[in-house]
Amino acid sequence: MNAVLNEAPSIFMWIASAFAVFFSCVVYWSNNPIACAVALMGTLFSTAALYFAIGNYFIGAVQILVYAGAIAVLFVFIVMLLDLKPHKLRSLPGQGAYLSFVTIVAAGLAALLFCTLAKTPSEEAGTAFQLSAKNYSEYFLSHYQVAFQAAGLLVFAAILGAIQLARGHFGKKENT
Amino acid sequence: MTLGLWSAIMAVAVGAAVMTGVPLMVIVERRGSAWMQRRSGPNRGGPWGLMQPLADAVKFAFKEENIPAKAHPILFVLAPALAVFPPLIAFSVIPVAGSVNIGGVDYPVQVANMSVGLLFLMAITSLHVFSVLTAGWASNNKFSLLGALRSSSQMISYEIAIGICVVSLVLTYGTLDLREIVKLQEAGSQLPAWGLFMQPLAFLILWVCAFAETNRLPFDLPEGESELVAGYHTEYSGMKFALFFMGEYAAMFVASAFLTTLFLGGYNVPFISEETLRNFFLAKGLGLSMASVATCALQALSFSIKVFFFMWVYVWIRWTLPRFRYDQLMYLGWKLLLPLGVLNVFLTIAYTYLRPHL
Repeated sequence: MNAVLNEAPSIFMWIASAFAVFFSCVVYWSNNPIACAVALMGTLFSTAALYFAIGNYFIGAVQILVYAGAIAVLFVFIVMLLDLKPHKLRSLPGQGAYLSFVTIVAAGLAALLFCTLAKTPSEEAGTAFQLSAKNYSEYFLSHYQVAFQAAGLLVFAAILGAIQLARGHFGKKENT
Repeated sequence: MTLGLWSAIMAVAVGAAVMTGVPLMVIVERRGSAWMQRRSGPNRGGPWGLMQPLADAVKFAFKEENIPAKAHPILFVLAPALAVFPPLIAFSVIPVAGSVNIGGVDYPVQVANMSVGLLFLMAITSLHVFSVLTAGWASNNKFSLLGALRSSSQMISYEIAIGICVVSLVLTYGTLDLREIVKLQEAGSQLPAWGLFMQPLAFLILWVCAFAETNRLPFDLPEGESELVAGYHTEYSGMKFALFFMGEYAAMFVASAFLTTLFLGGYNVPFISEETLRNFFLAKGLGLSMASVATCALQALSFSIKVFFFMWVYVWIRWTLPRFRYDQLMYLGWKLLLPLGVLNVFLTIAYTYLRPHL
């Protein structure tokens, strides 16, 4: 796997990256919420393909399972139930300001990512990608135990919040 | 030969096998249902009606394709493609036979020999719900959307039970590599060391979930024709409808192959190990390459028979049981299969922990 990283990017990596960029642009520019959700799935899928191309199957599979599989399905589900119409999205107040803010943040993050990547020696990157499913679980259950459990609690809190939001306003009694 | 070229050859071979299996299964289903209902079924096209799928395909290809005026033009066309693509990709990690020896190098009979095959399989099969959702929404039809929403809630509910069962399987086998899992189940002296005997409860739960995930009767509420016209594919016609049809059968093949690999010893020939088979063919005077090819052919046959068994049960159940009510479906998924799966995980953990001390 080390050799894969030191080689020039293969044609598969270029194709996967091109798809990822294309779908991200669709997410950004499309006015149709469902098209955005489907394009988001495409982005996550292309990223997973990129992981497969560099030989890290575990992260690739988890990427599809967690993001493209579960979250995007729920996302599509919620968008459908909320019945968002394209014209509603187009006429959000102050949308231009939001979009420019998001663009600046995204550009900043991209610059940060490039700087970090440029500084990381390729040997170190190689060892990082050699982890198997077993190594990952060992790290998660020993070294990163506290952070791992904290993340789980955060997700749990988010689920409770979502249920509360879906059931209506706080303190309001419902029949169900 | 490089591994990449071998993978490409295997991809074509496995893809062709699945796509040939689909029309075969259609005729088995139609003749099988006719047999169960005491009628003749399609018996005019070719010998025993075997050419009927060909006639069906030609009919589909020449039918008018209608895209509703208010449908989303891109997503409406994309949805049928999304129905066929995940099952075909999923088949790439399933080991179909042992390994073929060409010029002293062993090539596994599998498209991609992945270390996390089990995880990949679960990830890819969970994408199937996208085609249903996209189709239901893009058709701009109330019945389609209702079918799609039913389908997605059903699939999400049953995927949880599948995930829980897979946890207990991983605890038993200690690996995510499907080829490794098949090798662990290889021939025991009396009973085969199959997953079926090691995880009977997980087998039962996964088998039920396989019906729910592929939207087959008694779980075909997404299409329930008496309530929803035809569910998410109401607006589809011609070859686009045929793609949904093919996708459903390909998903059934994947589910059957998944169960075979995890519980029925995959490509193993019962009671005979790969080593014994190869030595038998070597003793018959075949070369090393030919002996490995003959072994693989036998193993592939064994795999096909096991897969066909599950496929036949699909047909059998479909024409035997009536459709569930929606509350019964949710009850089964959340209140029966999920607690049973969790119980199974705890039992497996206790067994795995105590085994060295027993």
